[in-house]
Amino acid sequence: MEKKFEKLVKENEPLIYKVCRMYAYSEVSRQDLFQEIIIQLWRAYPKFRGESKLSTWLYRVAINTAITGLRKEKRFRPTHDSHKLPIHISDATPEAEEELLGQLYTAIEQLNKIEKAIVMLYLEDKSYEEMEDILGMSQGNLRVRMNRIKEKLRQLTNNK
Amino acid sequence: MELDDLKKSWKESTENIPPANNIMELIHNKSNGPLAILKKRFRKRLILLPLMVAFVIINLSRHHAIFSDALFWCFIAFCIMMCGYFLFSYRLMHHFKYMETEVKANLERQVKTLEKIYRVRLIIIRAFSVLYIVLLEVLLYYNQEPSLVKWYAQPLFIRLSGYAAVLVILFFVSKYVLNHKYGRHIKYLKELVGQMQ
Repeated sequence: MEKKFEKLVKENEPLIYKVCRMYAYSEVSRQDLFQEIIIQLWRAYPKFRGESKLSTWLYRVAINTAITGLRKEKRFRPTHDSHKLPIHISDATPEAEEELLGQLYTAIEQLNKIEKAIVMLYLEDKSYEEMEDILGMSQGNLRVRMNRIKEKLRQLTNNK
Repeated sequence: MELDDLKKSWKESTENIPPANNIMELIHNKSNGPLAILKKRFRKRLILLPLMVAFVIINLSRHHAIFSDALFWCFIAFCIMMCGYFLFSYRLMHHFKYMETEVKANLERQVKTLEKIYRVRLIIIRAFSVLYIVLLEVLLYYNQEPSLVKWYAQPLFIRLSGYAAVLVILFFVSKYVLNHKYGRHIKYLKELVGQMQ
């Protein structure tokens, strides 16, 4: 079972690390969160019967752990430092666009934890049905929230 | 720049995953989350409390006839009740072991469980305080405690005022202490649930 689990985690490591990047602001915190998610996945693994999609199961465990399973981090200070952005921006991105992307990432960092989860699943192109399965919010509610988040991000980036 | 413009770069992003992550090593580590810490705390108390009671019994029994002392038995009953509470809480924490449920359901379950733990503890502390005071007064008519002769010599009004003061202080202190331990986390979880409405 351990080998099977290791393979599963290796295949989905980028997904887990994206969650860590979204919720933890320092490298140490990201490592802590990564470890915590792996421990929780391992505990939940024997109960995984494939009733839901693997990605749904992974996201559930990862998001649950990220928002409740880690000790509170020091208050977040918004930053434009590209090293601290949630993901690495491709080198091919033109400078102006990179600047705008940076602003958008900083704005995302200022969202609350639930909004971050919704944004992350949206960026992953998850359907509202799957988002409902992961978060437990109704599809109608998710659609409304998504529109509000987009508006919020627009305002946050325009204020820069 | 819109959120949809971010999708491409998000998907193309290559995370710099530290190579030191040995999955098989990580799964053998102990969880360091707040819930795991709380569970560990209950387990520790479940072990330490009987040891502490045994230590008190051994030491007191050398100097006093404690086994015929009603207050002593009340103290023992309180300790047994607290042991029961720690065991009950420890078992409840097992519900938090798995994180594979929907996020909202998981948050609601955590709130419900932690509120239950908080409420039971508050009830135990307050109920035993009242019981202890009642017992003190009842003992006055049956078997006066040598250590409390001075207290029993006070007028009833003074004694009642004293009990009332103790109860009021205990009411606020227990609320403050438990709020410090659980209240803030429950509030945080409730805020998250609220964000999902």
